[in-house]
This record gives sequence, structure tokens and C-alpha cells, in this order.
Amino acid sequence: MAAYIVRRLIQGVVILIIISFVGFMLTRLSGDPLAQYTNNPRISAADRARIARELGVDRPLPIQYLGWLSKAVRLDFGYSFTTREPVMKRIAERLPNTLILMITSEIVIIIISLLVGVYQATHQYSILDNLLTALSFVGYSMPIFFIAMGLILIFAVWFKELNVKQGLTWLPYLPTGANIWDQSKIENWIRQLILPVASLTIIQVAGYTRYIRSSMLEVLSQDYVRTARAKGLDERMVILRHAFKNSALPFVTIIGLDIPFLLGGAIVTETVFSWPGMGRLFWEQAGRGDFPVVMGILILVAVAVVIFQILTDVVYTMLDPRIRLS
Amino acid sequence: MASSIADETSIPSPSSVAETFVQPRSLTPNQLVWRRFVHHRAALAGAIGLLFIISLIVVGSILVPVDRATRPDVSNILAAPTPLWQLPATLVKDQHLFGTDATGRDVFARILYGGQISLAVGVLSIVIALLVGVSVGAVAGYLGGVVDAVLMRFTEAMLAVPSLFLLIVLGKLFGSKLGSIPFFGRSVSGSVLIVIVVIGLTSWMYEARIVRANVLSLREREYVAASEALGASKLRILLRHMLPNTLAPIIVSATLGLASAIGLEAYASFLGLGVQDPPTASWGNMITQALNYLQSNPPKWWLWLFPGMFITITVLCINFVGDGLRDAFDPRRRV
Repeated sequence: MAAYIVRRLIQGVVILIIISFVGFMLTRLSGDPLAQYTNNPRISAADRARIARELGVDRPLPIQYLGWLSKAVRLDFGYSFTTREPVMKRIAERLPNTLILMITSEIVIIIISLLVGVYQATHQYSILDNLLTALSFVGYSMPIFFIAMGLILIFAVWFKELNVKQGLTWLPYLPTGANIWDQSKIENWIRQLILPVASLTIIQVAGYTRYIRSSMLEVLSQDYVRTARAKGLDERMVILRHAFKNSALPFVTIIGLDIPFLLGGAIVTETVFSWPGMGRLFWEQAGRGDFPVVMGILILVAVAVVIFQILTDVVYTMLDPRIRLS
Repeated sequence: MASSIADETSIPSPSSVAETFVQPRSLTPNQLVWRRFVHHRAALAGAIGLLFIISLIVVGSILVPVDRATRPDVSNILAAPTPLWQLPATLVKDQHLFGTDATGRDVFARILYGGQISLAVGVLSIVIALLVGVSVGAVAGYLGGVVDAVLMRFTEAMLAVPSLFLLIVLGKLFGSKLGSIPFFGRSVSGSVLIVIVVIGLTSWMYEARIVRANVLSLREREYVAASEALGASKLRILLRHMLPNTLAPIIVSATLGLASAIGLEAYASFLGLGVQDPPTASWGNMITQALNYLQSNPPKWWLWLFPGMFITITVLCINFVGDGLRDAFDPRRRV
């Protein structure tokens, strides 16, 4: 086990080096980091050369990369080109927001997918099962901002109109993430969270329920489930204790591999709902040629992906004694 | 079948016995695949839906002049759709079945012409993804050793980056302005080419892994050894023997990849890296422009509902076809 983890860690480091090199070259080649100064008449060419020297962007690219790498391994990602703050500080400002959105949605996603998936498997080919299967196909095929826009139209625009104009004050309408809201009150956080979490949930649940349904059906057809039923065990017991535990096993892998991608994968959701998270920071700073911040986020997410891949494998072997790591 | 039943009741002659055995098995593997596909209800529905959308776009863009999709009309901005129950009126030239957008362009015409672009972007970007993915996978799987290790670590590295991050970084890299290019007798924004390349380079990794896994297992087959013994070159073995035997999984993953490429086009537009409008509409940039009117009062729902619906239905149909193809290519499945 220990040898396996060490080998996976070495592989992970190799992958991270490849990502950092490719990412560095692509972001550096894609735009002049001094572009924001070129149209400023108050900054002369000599000043620009001096700034380039200070930022270290005047040296050959491979040297710049090695310089960046030698600092990055000490967790020093340099300073943001746009605000001159340390990259770590800028990420640290956004990371909690992303984590709040991510963890909340992941909890909701797991609970709903398990409930729906198990229901569908235990009521195979019922009307509700067929309906849910159809819905999951549709949800799976939608771009997330389409769902987000639909939710905004219903819960923010229509409900607000009914509430304010028609006097249906019992009907709560939801905010759509105005940039300024009182962050000291917890109920504001909850209200702001509902729509983005719902959008992320609809997309993910659509994929996961199909998976849980089929894995649960497979387990339910196995001999030991029949044995459990034959010995007169309560059906709920059969499903929860015997079938569910085993069918949830592969689900652990899928969730473990998907979770780190939520760190950066919520760019679109964060943008639609003006949620100040890390994905949005990546997108904004990529547009401004701020490559220290872009690289910092890229590496952070990649590290999370690699670590979660190893963790998932280890947890899976602990849960399933039939599998040996080699 | 009728003749074989008749045969069972009569005394079988040796030749008729042979016939009863031969007849039901005379389907070629391809015919079996076709049979399994058309018996897959969802796949058939998906294929029919897709054909309907494609013919709507083709016939529609012949009937509706491109001007309606591109020429602003300030006297008629943000007009609501003509209700369907006034159907005779909706057929009149100046009516707008799906309403008009912020500069008075007809949303229905833009759905038709934008559909051409979105589908073309999807198909061509998958062609690029296939070219890259199949070459990487085939070379890695067949040559093995250091080449395999290097190529596969690279593939894994690209898979460890969220695809939207990759899309943004590549989009910024290629994001220079291109002139117009001709497309079916009209000129469209050169940004279409950039979007195709960017989506293609974001989506090749799964193809590479599938092809590599398949080539690895095919490498051990006797017919490959036989053809090596006959002195065939590595390239010939790859192209003549291995890739044709990998075709089924490649087709399936390309179909499912097409669905996600059409979705990615919308995401690229959303992130400001998509097809430039003006002059060129795509389903993705239509839905993105609608964001500005999301909370306007009264809601301008037709701006995003129609492109969103067309994206969803198209992706849904392609996913159904892809699922059906996967089942159809699986020889263990029975009709």
C-alpha cells in the first residue's frame, strides 16, 4: 500500500510539472502582460522596459518558467500583475466562497442523487422511474446557464413581480447575486446560495442518478440479495444494508474524481449569479493577462485533482477488500 | 423463416438442412449493428429528431433570406414572438415567429443560420479532436515504451485540468482577429475557425485513451503477428489492421463528443471566446447576448429560450444516438 501511494505521488508530481509547463507557456504566449500599459500615454517605452524587468517578463521563457517553478515549489506564486497583491492572498480571498458553494452543492447533489437513484432502481419501469429517466437525459443535455436562466426567470423575476406587484407577500423571491449584499447575515448567504446550488444540482444529479440506478439494479439482481430476501429479511433491510452499500461503492469513485473539478468548474455558475469564487477570478484574470494568478489557480486545482485521484483509489480499496492495489 | 418451418415438418434432405442453418445467419456484422440500432427506441428517436433539426436548418436557410438574421432593424427591436395561434399571420413576411433581438434581427432566422454554425463547429471540432486523439493514442499504444509513457502522462495532465480552464487558456492563445471566411456562399466571422480549433484541442483526450487501450490489446493478436511476419510496415499494420478494428469505439466516443462539443461552443460564447457577432450568429452567442436582458421587465424570454431549447434538443438527440450506437456495436447484445 505504502509503495503504491509513493509511486502514485511521483506520477502525480510528473503530471503537475507537465501541467505547469504547458500552462505557463500557453498563458505567457497568449498575451502581453504589459498590455494594460501600452495605451497609457503617461508611461514611456523606457518605463515599460523597466516594469518588464521588475516583473521578470523580459527574460527568455524557459528561464522565466524555471524561476516561477523554483518559487512555486515553495508555495510562492508571486504577485498579481493587476493588483500587486500576493497571488496566495487573492486566491485565499476567493477560496472560501468557492468552497461554500462547492460543499453545499456537493452535499445536496449526493443526497438527491442517492434518493432518486435508489427509488428508480427499486421501482424499475414505473411511471415515475420512466419520467425521471427522461428528465435526467434532458437535464444532462442542457448547458448549465440555460438552467440558471430558467431558474432566474421563475424565482427571481416572476416571483418578485408576483410578490411586489400582486401583493403575494408569502411568495418568497430570490436574489440573483447582486454584487453588493450584506455578507454578515447568514440568511443572506442562504438566500444567495439557493439558485446557484440548484443549477449545479440539476446538472450533476441528472448524470449521477442514471449511474446509481444502473449500479443498484445490477446489485439487486445478484445471488446474495436473493438469499437475503429468501431468508425472510425485511425488504428495507435488504435494500439499505445489502444492496445499497455495495452499489454505492463505485459511486464513491465517481464523486471523488469529480469533486476537485468543482473547484474550477463552476466558472459559469459563479458568473451568472455574480458569486465571487475562484473560477470567476481565473476567467477575469486570464482576460487581463495576469498570469501569476492564472497559474496559481491552475496549479491549485490540478493539485486537488491529483490528490483526490490518489485518495479515491485508497478509500476505494479500504471499502472494498476484494481489490488489491499493485 | 417460412421455409425453415416447412422444412422441420418434412424429412430434411442434406441440402435443406444446410439451408436452415445458413439462412438465419446470413446477416453481416454491419447488418447486425444496423438491426440493433433501429431496434433501440431512444436511438431511433434521437436519429429522427436530429434529421428533423438538420432539415429544418437546411430548408429554412433556403427559404429565409440571410438578411433577416444579420441586418439590424431599429424600428423593430425586442419584439415579442407572434403567437402560434395567429399562424396565418406568422407566415406573413414581416412577422417574427420567435420574436426579434436587441437590434431587431429575427430570432427564428438567427436560429436557422446560427444552427448551421453551431453544428459545423461541433462536427469540425470533433474532426480535429479525432485527428489528435487517434494519432496520440495509436502511436502511444503501438510504439509503447518511452513514447507511450510521455504521451500518456501528457494526456493525463490535460485531463487533470478542468476543461473550461483549458478552453479559456487556449481561447486566449488563439484569440487574435481573423478576417471573414466563405461558408455556403456567405461570409462568416473567422472566429468560427478559432472556436473549432480550441474546442478540438480541448476534447481529444478521451479518444486518445480509448484508441491506446484498444491498440494495446490488438497488438497481442495473431493477425498482427502474422502481418509483422509478412514484413508489413508499422504504419501499414496500424492503418490497415488496428484502426479499422478500433472503429466502433471511436465512432461511439466521437458521437458523444459531438454532443459535448456543441455544448462547449455555448460555453465558449459565454466566456467571450466564441463566435463573433456581428456578423455571425451561433446558438451559443445568441443565448449569451440574452444575459443582458435576463432581468428586464417584462422578461425577454424568447431571446434565450429558443437557442437554449435548440442546443438542448440537439445535444439530447446526439446523446441518444451515441448511446444507441454503443449498444449496437456491442456484439453481446441481442435484438
